[in-house]
Amino acid sequence: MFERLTVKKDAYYDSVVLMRLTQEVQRLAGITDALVGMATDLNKDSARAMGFADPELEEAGPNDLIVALVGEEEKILDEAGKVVAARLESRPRPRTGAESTRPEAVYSSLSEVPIGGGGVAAISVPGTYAAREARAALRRGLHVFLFSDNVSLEDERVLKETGRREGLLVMGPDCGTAVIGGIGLGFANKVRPGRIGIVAASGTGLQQALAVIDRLGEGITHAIGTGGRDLRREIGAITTLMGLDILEQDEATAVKMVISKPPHEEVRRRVIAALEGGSKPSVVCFMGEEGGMPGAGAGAGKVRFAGDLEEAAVVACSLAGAGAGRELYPQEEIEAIVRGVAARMPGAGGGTGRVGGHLRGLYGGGTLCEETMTVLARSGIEVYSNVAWRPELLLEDPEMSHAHTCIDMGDDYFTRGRPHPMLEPGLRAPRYLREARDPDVGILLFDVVLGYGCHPDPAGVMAEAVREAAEIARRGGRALVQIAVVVGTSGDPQGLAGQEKALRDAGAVVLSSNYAAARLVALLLGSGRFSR
Amino acid sequence: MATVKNWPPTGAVVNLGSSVFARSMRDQGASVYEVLWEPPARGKLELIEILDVLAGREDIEEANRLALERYSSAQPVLVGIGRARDVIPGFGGKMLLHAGPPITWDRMSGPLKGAIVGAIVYEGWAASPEDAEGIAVEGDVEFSPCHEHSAVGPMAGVVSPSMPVFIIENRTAGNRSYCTLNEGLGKVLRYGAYSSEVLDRLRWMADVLAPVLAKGIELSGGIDLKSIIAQALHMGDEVHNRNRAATSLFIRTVAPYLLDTGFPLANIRRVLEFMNGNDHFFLNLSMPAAKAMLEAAHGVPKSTMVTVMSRNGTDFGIKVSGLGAEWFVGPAEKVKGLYFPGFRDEDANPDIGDSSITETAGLGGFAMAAAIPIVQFVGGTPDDALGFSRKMYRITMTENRFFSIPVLGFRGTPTGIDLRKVVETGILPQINTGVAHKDPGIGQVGAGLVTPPWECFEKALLAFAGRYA
Amino acid sequence: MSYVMERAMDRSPAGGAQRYLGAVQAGPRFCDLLSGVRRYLVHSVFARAINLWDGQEFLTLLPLSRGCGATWATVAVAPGESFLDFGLAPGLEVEARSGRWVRLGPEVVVDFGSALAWESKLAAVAVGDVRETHLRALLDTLLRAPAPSPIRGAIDGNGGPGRGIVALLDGLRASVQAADGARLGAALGGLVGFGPGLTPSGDDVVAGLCLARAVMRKACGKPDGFWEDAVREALGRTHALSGFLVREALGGRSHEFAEDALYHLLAGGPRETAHGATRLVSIGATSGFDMGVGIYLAAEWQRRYAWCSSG
Repeated sequence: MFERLTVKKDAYYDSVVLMRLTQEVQRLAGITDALVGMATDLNKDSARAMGFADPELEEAGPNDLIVALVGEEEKILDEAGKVVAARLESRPRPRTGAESTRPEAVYSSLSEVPIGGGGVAAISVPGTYAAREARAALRRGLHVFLFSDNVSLEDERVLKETGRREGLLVMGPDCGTAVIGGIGLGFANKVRPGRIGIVAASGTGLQQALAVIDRLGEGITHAIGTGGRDLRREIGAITTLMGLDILEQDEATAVKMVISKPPHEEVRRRVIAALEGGSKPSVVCFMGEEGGMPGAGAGAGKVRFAGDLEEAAVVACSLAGAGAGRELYPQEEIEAIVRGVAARMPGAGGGTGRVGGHLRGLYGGGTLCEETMTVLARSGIEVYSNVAWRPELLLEDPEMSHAHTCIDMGDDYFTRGRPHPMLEPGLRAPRYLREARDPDVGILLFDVVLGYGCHPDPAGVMAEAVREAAEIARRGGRALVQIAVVVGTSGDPQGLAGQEKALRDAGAVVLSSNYAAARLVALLLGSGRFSR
Repeated sequence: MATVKNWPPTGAVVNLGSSVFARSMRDQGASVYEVLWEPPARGKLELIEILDVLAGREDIEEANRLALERYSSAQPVLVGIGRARDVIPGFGGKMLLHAGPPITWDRMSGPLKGAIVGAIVYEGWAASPEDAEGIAVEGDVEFSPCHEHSAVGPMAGVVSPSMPVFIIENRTAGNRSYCTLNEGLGKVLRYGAYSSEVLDRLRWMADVLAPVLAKGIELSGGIDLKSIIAQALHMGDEVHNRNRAATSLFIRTVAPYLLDTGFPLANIRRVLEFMNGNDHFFLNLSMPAAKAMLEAAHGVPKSTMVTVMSRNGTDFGIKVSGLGAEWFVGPAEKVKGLYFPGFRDEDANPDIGDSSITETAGLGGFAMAAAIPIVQFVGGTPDDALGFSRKMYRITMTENRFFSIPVLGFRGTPTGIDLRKVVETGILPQINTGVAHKDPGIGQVGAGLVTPPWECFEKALLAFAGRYA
Repeated sequence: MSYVMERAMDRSPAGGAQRYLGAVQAGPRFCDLLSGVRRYLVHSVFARAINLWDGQEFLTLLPLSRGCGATWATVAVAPGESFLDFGLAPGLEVEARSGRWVRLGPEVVVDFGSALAWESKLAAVAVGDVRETHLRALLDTLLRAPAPSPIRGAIDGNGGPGRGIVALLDGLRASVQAADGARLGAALGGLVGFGPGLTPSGDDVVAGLCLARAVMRKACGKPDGFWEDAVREALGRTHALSGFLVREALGGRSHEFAEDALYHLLAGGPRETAHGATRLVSIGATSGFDMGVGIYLAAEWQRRYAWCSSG
C-alpha cells in the first residue's frame, strides 16, 4: 500500500467541486482511499484517520488544499495525482444555451467554431476582410467558398496556392454559386443527383446550366465554383484543375463540364490538356467563343465545345444519356412565340411579328447579359451595355440606355451600397418602367433567377413591374413585348411553375433558356436567320 | 493523384457573413455553424495588418505566459497599515496622489478637485478650502498618479502623506501595494467632499481605526486576501461594486485578533461597527490585492497583457505589461446605469477611479456572473450579468485558477486582458462602477456600467507594433 | 459579376437592414422627407400600406401598381408580401440619409435613389365643358362596382338606406348655390366622419367633391370660397389621416387613380374615363368608389348648376 500527501498553499476551491473530485478519485482503479479538500480541521481529521501524520498536514490551514491518496501502486498514485491536477486546472464547464455545441448556435468568430477539418467555410463578408477570414478557414482545414468580391488578385493567388498545398479547395473570390455534395452554396439551385460534374467560373452561368440540366431530367455530382478569375494567367486555373481532378476521381461523375469566360491561352492549354488526359468525356463552354471548335492532341474528341450555356448543358446531358441533344426551344417554337406575340399585338410590325422598337434588357446575372449580347452580335445586332467588351458599345452613362441596350444591374455601379438584384429584384423596377416609358422601346427583357439564397418571390416582384409597363404601353398605344428568362429548377424553393405563371399572367413571354430568349429577340428584331 | 483532402466535404458548413446563406444551407440539410461576423479591429486595416503580424508569435505567447504566471502565482496578503509618507515609495513632501493617469489641476473634474482641496486642508497646508484651492492652482502641490507609486485609490483616489494606508504584500514576488482605508458612503473625500465632517472622520480613521486594525493585522500574521476574494465570488460579490460578502469575511477573520489588541473595548467596538456599517470596506483591500498581483505581471517585455486600467474623471488610461511606464490615454466616458432618486444623467461625472484595477485582474465586471444581485444596482438583467462575463472570455488570455464563477460551472473568471484580442474583437473591457456627482462633495449618485475608450487600446497596439513588430 | 454584401454590416447607409426595398415612384412631397426638412414617424402599418406622418402631414408607401400621388410613393414588393412582416411599428422614427435612403425601422430601408418622379396630370389640364358621354362612362363604371358603400344610394336612384345620404348630398349642392352656411355646415356635419372604411365613406365623397371642385376652380382662376372654408371647419370631426387627405383634395391633389379618373373625365375620352374609374374603384373596399361618386357629383352639378364655380 502506498500513501501520498500533497499540500497546495493558498489555493481556494469550492467545497462542492472538491467533494465531487474526491469521489471521482476514490473510484479510480487501484485507489483505496482519497481525500481532496481544503485543510479545514474536519478534513485534517479525516486525513489523519486515513493514516497521514505529516508535519505538512499539521501546518496546513483552511486556505490550503490537501490531496491525500492511498493506492496499491506508486504508479496509480501518479495517475490519480494527474487526474486531480487536470480537474483543478480545467473546471467542469457544463455548456448551456448559446454555449452549446449544437450547430445552430451562433458564434462571434471562426476561431470559436467547434468544427474539425473536412467542412466548408462559406464566406460572404466584405471583400476587404474576406481574404483574412479565408486564410483562417484554410488554417482550420476547411475548404473555402468565397462569395465576397473585391479581393485582390494577389490575395486570390496566395489563397489558392495555400489551398493547393494543403489539399483544400478555394472556390472564389467572387464565387456566386456552387453545389457540393448536394448542398448549394451561395445562390444555388436544387438539382437532383446525376452524372454530370461541373467546374464553373460564373455563378449565373452555372445556374443557367443547372436549370437546363434539370429540365432535361439529368442531375449533377458536384458543381464546383472557381470565381471569375481562376483562368487568368496570374491564377493559372488552380481551382479549375483541382476541381477537374476531383471530378476525374469521383466515380459518380460520368461527364465533365467547364464553364468560363475565354481563358488566357496558356491556361487554356492546361485545362484542355487536363480534360483530354482524363478518362471521361467533357463539354467546355468558353462564353463568347464559338462552339464546335475542335480539340487538339491525343485526347481530342473527348472534349466538346459549346457556344452557349444551353448548348453546353444539352451536350453534357446527351453525353450522359439524357435529352435529345438538341435545342431546348426548336426554331419552330420560337417562331410560334413570335406569331403569338403578333396576334396579341396587332400593332407590332404590321402583323409580321417584327417590332420596330429597341431592345432594353435588364439583367441580374452578368453572364446572361453577356451571353445575350454575344448571341445578338452573331445575328448582326449590336447591343450597347455598361459591360460591353467593345469600347464603342460601352454606354457613356450606365443610367442612360441607347438604341439596343442590355444592362448588367449586378455590376458594381448599381450594387455599391445596395443589395444585388438577385436578392432584391425590385431594385430593377424603376429602371424597367423608365425603359417602358421610352417610346422607342419595343422589347423589354429581364432575367429572374431562382434558387437558395435568392429572393423568395422574384417573379412576383417583377410581375408587378410587367403589369405596370403593359399599362404604360397600352396608354401610349404602343406594342411592347416583355420577355422573362426564368433560371431555376423544379426543386427550387420559390416554385418554378408558380414563378413562371406569375410572369405569364402579367403578360410576359417566359422562357427557361437565356439563349432561346436571345434568339427570340433576334427574330423579333427582324434577323430571321439564326445559327449557332 | 489525390490532390484534394477530405473530399467530399462533411455536411458541416461555417457561415461567415450573410445570414441568408446560413438559412438556405440549413434548409438544404447542412449543419451550419453561423458566425455573427463583424469586421475585426473595428474595420481599421492598419490595425488588422498589425494583428496579423503579431498573431501566433511564439515570443509574445511566451511573454504572456510568463506575465500570467506571475499574476497567478501572486499571493496578496494584508500585512499591515502604515502612514502613507512612510511606506509608499517615492511619496513625500507636498505631494498628493490621485486616481487615473497623470493630470494637471486645470483639467481635473469636480470630484477630484474637491478631494484635492480636502486633502490640502486635512494636511494643514491651508487653513480653508479657498486657500487650498489657491495652493493647488499655483502649483505648490505636486500631483502624481497612485499607480506610479504601487498604490490605488477608489474614485478621486486622493492619498495625502499623513493618511494611513493598507500595506499588501505579494508573498511570492515580494512586491507591495497600498491603498487608503475606505471611508464609507455619503459625503466622503473620495467623492470630492471636504466638509469638517469629512475631515473629522479622516482624523478618526487615522487616530483610532488605523492603529486598532494595524495591531489586529499584526497579530493575525497577515490576512490572505486572495482566498477571501475567491470565497466572496461564491457569495455574490464581484469585489468592485459589491463587497458585502468580502467585508463580512474580512471582519470574521480580523475580529478575534482585534479583541487581543489591548485597545479600549469601546474603540474596538467602534472599529467593528465602522467596518460593519460599510459594505464597501473591502473594496480598499480588493483593489490593492488586484494591484499587487498585476504589478507582478507588469514589465514583461513583449507581453500584451493589460496591467492597469484607470481613470481620473477626465481621462482613461491603460498600461501594458510589455510597454513599460507609458500610459495610453483617451477621454473617460459617462457611466450608463441607474441613478439614485433625485439624480439624473447630467449630474454624473465622467468615469473616475482606480477601482477598474479589479476588472484588470479578472474581477469586477469580468466576474459579474458571480454577482448577479448586482444588476439591481447597476441596471440590466441577470442574463446581462452572465453575458458580460462570458463576453470577457473573448478578450482575455485565460480562465482564472483561483477566482471562479459558480453559475458558469465554476469556470475561472476571464483573466489577463490581451491587448491584441481587445483590438481584434472590438470588445472593450466591461467595468462595473459607481458614479460620482460632477460637483465636488455631493458623493455617489448612482452606479452602472462603463468601458474604456477605444483609443487607449488602439494607441497601445500601435506603440506595441512600433516596439516589437 | 459583383455582389456587395455590405448591407449585413452596420457601416453602410442601409446597414443591418433585413429588407432593402426599391422605391419605384415617389410624389414631390417625399422631398421633405428625403432632405430631412421634416421629421416623420411611422403613423400606421397595414399589410399593403405604410403611413408616415410628421404630426400634420402624411406620406404613404404602397406596393408598385397600387398607384402614386403627390404624397404617395410606390415600392417594389412581391404580391404575397405584407408590410406587417417588416418589423415596423407606429411611432418608429423615420430616418433619412444622403437624400436617398429612408430607414423606416431597424429592419427596413427604402432606396429612393432610382425612384421615378411622380407628376400630376391635373397640373396642366384644360377644363372645358363636362361632357355627358364621359359622365355616363364614369357613372356606369361606378354602378357596376360592387363596393358596399352607404353612398351608393346617391347614384343608383334607389332610396332605401341611402335616403338620408341623398338628402345630405343634395344639401351640399343646394346650400352652396344658396350660400346657406348653416345648411352646408349641417350637411357636412352629417357626412364627415361617417361610414365604413379606413377613411370614412362620407370623407371620401367629400374628398371627391373637393378634388373636382378645386381643379375646375383653379382652371378658371377662382380662389377658395365658402365651401372650402366650411369643409376645413368640419374636418375636426374625422381622424387625422382622413382629414389630411380631404385637405389635400381641397388643394387639388389626391391619389393617382382619383386624379387620373378626373383627368380623363375632363380631358380624355369616354373609354379612358371608364378605365380610370375602374382603377379608382379598386382602392380599398369603398374609398375609391366613394371618391368616384364625389367626382361624379361635382362634375354633374357643375354641368347642371355651375356648382363648382359658385360659392
